[in-house]
Amino acid sequence: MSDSLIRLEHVGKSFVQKGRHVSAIEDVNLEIRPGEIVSLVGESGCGKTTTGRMIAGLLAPSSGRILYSDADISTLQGAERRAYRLGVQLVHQDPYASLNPTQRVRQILAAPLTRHRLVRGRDDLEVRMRELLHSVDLTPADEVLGKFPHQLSGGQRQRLSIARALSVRPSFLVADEAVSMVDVSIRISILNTLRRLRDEYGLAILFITHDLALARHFASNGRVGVMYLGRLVEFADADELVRNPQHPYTQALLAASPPDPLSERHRPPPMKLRQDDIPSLLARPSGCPFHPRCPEFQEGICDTAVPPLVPLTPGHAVACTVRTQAYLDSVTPSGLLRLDSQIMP
Amino acid sequence: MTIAPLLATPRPKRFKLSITPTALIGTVLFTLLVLVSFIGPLVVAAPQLDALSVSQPPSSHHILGTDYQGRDNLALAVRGGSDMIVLAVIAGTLTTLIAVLFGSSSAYFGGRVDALLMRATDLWLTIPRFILLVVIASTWRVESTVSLAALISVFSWPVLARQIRANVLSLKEREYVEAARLLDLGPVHMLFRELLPNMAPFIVVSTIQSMTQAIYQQVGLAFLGILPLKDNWGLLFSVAYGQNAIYFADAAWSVLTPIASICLLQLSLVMMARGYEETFNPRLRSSR
Repeated sequence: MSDSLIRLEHVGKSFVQKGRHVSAIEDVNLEIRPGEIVSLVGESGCGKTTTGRMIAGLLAPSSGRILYSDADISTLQGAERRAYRLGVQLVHQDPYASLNPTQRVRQILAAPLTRHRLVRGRDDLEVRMRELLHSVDLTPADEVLGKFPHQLSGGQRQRLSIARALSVRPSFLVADEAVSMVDVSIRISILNTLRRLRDEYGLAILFITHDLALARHFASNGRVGVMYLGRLVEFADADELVRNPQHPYTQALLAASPPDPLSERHRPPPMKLRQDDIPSLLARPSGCPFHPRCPEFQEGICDTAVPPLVPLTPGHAVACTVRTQAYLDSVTPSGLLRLDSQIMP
Repeated sequence: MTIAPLLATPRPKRFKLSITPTALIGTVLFTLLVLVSFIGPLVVAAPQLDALSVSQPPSSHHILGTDYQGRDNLALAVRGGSDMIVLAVIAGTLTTLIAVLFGSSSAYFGGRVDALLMRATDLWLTIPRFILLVVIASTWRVESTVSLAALISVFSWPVLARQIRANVLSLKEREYVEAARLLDLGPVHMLFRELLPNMAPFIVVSTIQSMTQAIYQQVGLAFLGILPLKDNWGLLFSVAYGQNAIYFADAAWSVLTPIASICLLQLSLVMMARGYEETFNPRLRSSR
């Protein structure tokens, strides 16, 4: 068996809107190993948050399945279900909405610890709560414990919500835009805290963000997936993805991100899209979801078949018929290999 | 006690409730009425029957005049308050408790529980409840204040239950509730630690409003002569009216005294409800 912690197999999710089925996620395959950092990047509405919420068990997939330690999460029972429920935690985007305004920090942290008998007695509880606050650099712990969330800053609140998630000793953390609403100056330090937690506790992290630069920085030795209209269009090691992006959408994202003064050399030239607007999920384009905007659009190819996510090199997969074919042509005598007959998803 | 602001209220940076003047006046008035009603009877002499001074206008001897039996109106009014207040408090609390129980479990559990409870609530809402209350109160003799309060509560929870359900439904979608779900904190924690504390202001205001309703119903029943004879404002008004006091200028004081007392009590409650609503939810305040 594989050593994956979380595995998504052909996961799809559709919602009913105005009597119509709108598919928000289509055929997403993803594997995350213990202690690994994976980033999901994409514009709003691309399905990255929905993916995170399905992994956390807050939404059920409409098709496909999600495995936690090789067991389908929808069929878990008893102790196994509990292990999954506590093993996968989620940190919300908005630190102002994710903490109950009527509870003090002490109550917020004590509830999961006592409910799941993770501490023995009062003294142990006090010690453990302080440990948790220290582990997310929220100090002085004694002072913080007596405060209400509104007495903390946005960054402190986000640290508290991370501490709360850690209280049940999870093995997997979904960080859904966890630093997007925090001041830029605080962002890096929270990310460093998260990375340190990964190193110390072997915590695997799914980092969901719309900011490719942030994803790359955070998952610098992890992997990054790019999503577009509910599909994973490219998946690669973070450095590889930025240095050698294959999917036109990834290239467009990189070209559109604000210039990084320190590493101008990887910056691709600006790209002209055929169309700026993201299509509605209600009118999903045929074939490749990116084709109406893609500068490399080829009629008859891109608008007919949905390109599968195909590994070009080990660890770098892309869902683009044109690029895959170009790659194949470059490494094999032309015409010998045809995409449709050779490559399996 | 610290009370959190109403739903969706942007919280002030410092936790300070700046009480509105309306709430302050209402609270002071209500406190005064409570003091007069519970301590007053110890101070003011008990009203005496006096066949020689029946239906007198105000004089130095009887500041608010006398009733048809020659009893001092002021002394009667001072004694008639405690029963009203006790009734209002019990009925208001009980109504809110039933409403919170039904409304929150309906919203929290959803599905069949929700469907069942809400259909029951709808059914209860369609019944002309005051008429039914009159019928039941007259067939089943309501002897004590507590049983009257219980009866009133049974008839007045549905509207509030619906509002509480709506509140819980909206709170359920909050991210902190979701976080509690992720941590598997259980339904008891969810209801009593996450949901209800965030509705505390709404519940307080609703309780006060239910108290107002209970008083109206008591006065209505007393006016119809269904309630047993007892010293309270509702009955004093009913009896005085029954003695044709409204047709004689001198006797009118025996009608006006209990009416004014009821009005003051209701006014204090309405001001409190409205004032606290504004206090908890500053967006309701009109900008000056």
